[in-house]
Amino acid sequence: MTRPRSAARRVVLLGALTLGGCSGAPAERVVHVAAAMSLKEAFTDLEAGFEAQHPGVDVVFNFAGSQTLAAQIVAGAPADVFASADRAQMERAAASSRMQPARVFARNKLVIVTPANDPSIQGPADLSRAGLRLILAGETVPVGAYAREALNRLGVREAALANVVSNEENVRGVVGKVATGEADAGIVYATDVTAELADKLRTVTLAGADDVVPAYEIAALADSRQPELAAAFVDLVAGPAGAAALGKRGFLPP
Amino acid sequence: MSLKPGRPGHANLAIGLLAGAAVVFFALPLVGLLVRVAPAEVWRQLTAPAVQTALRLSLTVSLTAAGLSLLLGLPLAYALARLPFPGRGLARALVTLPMVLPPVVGGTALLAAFGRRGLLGGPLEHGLGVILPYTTGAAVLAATFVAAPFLVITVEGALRGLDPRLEQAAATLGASRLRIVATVVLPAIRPSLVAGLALCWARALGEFGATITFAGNLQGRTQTMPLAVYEALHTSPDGAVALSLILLAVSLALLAALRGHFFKGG
Repeated sequence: MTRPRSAARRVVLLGALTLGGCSGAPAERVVHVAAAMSLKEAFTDLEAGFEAQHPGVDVVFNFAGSQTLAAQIVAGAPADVFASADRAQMERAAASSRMQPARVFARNKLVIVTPANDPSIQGPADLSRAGLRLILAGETVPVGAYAREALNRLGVREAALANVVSNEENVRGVVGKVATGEADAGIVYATDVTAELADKLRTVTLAGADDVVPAYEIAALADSRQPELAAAFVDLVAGPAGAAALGKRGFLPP
Repeated sequence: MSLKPGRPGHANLAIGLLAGAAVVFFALPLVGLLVRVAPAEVWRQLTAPAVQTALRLSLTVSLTAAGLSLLLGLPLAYALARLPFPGRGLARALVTLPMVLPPVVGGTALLAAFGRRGLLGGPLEHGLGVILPYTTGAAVLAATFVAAPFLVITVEGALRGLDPRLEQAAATLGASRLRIVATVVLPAIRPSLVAGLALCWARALGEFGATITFAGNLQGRTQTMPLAVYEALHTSPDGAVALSLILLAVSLALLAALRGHFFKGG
């Protein structure tokens, strides 16, 4: 019975090498950034610049629906910065008294998306058409809350909500299901129609609900173990470099 | 290799410590659930309309899935165990696959088959006017896909362990195959059938990944209890714990009802 033993030895050796490799590298400081799903591309664009300015620092993102991130922060998840897609979820996180004061750093626009080959939806009124398969984000998800508010302003809330076939937990769930053609329409941020999905989607403006303007808030966590780095990341996002990166991805200035 | 005699005390101590750690590992999360919320909160959740809707939907979906598994799974288990046919090994492997497949992959695969742009989705929509994704039917299909294998594998194992001479004897007495199955085979494998059905139902009741992928998440239509727990986790964590306790109670009741099958040694 020598084979299993030599195999086991090899595993141990491999493990030792892996561990050795880790301890040999210079100690990295990690900045945990919990950010709304819709910020994924813009924030990822900012990562390399921040890490270049702060040698030995690794930015680790946690992208999810803001309501998920707020719940994680309330539950004590390690995070240094939180960027929320609405005020409600920032306030929920702040109720944990872990958050420093927040500031608005960007705005967005709501749009209707439909599969590229389906021309039947021309405006918000079509969302109440019987038999339409509409996908929204859940009502506590920021984009879901904004969408319901917009439908309310347009006077089609009840009829449109009756067409909802699924409540997604973040905005990318909505975009994906429309892009694959499983749903007829969804309401998302204009910035979610990324280059990758542009040819699969058609965008229709939510005319008449222009005063529902999604606003993003960012704050450092008061109990961050590296407050200077957390503050520096917040400043980067809210400063000129952040504005440029966000603008490039289609976000509107605060 | 042979086990060396001597110093059994040390070995027993080591085994005991590790086994104890394992029991603590399994017990601790359950204790956590139990101490986290007051019984009043559980009762409040149990009587909330949204929870009752999810509970009712979960029971409907999981029981229908169990019924469907029985309808299709029993003949399949019999065919796998008793009828030699080409590709039987492949068929068995295919049926077992959902047991080891990540459920979210199962959901994606179901979309690829029954989604609007899937293999059968187009013909279903344009021929029959049926769109499966995001319906209660989709939730049933998702639950059946992941749960039926538990029934099939359990029953097939029992059939293989059954002495075929019983059936041969019945056949020589002139009984038809259907009559043999009903009067000889099924009574003989009844304990395994019950256990397989219970495992299948429990798996269907707990189904999450394939459901949220293929059937979406809509209260009253596709939001089963596990999906409700997951959503509550992000909106009212105490509610999520209370909902989990309700599901835990259902699972414990199932285990208690089956204690003859699972706790023979105890």
